[in-house]
Amino acid sequence: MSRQPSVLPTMVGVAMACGFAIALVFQATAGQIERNRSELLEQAVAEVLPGVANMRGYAIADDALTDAATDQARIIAGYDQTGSLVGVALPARIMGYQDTIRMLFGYDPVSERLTGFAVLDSRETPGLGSRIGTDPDFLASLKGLDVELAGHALANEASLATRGAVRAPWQVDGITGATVSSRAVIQAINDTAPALAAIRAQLPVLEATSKVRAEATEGNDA
Amino acid sequence: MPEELLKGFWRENPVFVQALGMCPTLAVTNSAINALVMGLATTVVLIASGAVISTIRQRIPKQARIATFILIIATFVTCVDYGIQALDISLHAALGAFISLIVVNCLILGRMETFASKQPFLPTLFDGLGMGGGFTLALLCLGSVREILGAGSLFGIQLLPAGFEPWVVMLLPSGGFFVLALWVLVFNRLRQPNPTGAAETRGAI
Repeated sequence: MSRQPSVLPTMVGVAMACGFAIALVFQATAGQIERNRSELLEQAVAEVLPGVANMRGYAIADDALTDAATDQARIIAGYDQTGSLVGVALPARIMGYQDTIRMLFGYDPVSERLTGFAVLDSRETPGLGSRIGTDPDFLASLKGLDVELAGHALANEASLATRGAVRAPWQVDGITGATVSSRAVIQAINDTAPALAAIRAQLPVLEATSKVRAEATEGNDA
Repeated sequence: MPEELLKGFWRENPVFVQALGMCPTLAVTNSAINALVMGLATTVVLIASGAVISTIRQRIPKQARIATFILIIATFVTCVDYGIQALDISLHAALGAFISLIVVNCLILGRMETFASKQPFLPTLFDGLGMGGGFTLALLCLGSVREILGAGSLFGIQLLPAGFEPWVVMLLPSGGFFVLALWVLVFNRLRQPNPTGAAETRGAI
């Protein structure tokens, strides 16, 4: 009882040792975590833009494009082996049923259609809302979805298909039991309209970039 | 020493007997892999913080012991969190906030207060291993039943034929309660093969 250690030095000592340990582990893992993150994103881009070999991130400001790291980019342009533009991947985030859903859309600016959709991160209800990433009908109806622009908005806003009626090219087959999550995805598609407009406006730049890069690669080979 | 190791699996199983750590037990056991990773992460934290606390137990002031325990536990949880992110980032995304919430798992704080802070290094190590192992076992019991019935697969491998209609309720929170109740029933039935308690109840009626 007489040799009871005092509180302050012990607490300060323990806290300092803990802080040191955390800093050490953070330093040791930071690089690998960063690599895992970008690898995950690159896999998703390849999934929504089939045939992609190279990618390049851009930020958007007033319909103009500036270079950005792919993990912070507003849009990611994807190029194939020969260096021509395959399409553009658009990361998006929106509130789902439980938490923010992070997703990626593939967009073909020439035909103005979506080429694919992937969920990057979601905490939707397992077995119900989580099916936005796996349900075959839902994913198939997103692929090739008509997102034609009229100015800075979509000519026909994306919406859920009506049961029994013929599905319009801009309509999505909803998932039974995951109405909130499917609606969130549709809302996210409609929210991308300004970014799509910027891509359309800068399409020559995006396509030209690829040619410059392709020539540079060829030069290296020679 | 084997007693310290084995009690966590059977006689004092943290989930089925002590009913500790119910939050991760119900929340992340919708698939076997989530259950396994959660169990292993908790085991690592249990062993590591137990080892540290047991080593410095004479230097921890009584008034500030809980704060010290939490500080040490939180440190190891943060390290495990970074470790899982470095190993497999999609797994980390599936477990969501629950890895960070290991800090407040009452199983860990309970073991520190009742065991690690009073016992020497080696028994604490065995206690942590046993309790962590028992916890992992319990989570796996729940996770595998819920995944088989709720998705027709186990560890992502399709088990049941494609014609099987998954019981989505098993993946939802209510399914967690059902499966937990069944396992507690089975476990305690096996633990007391001669239920004198049941006989007495019958007599009382």
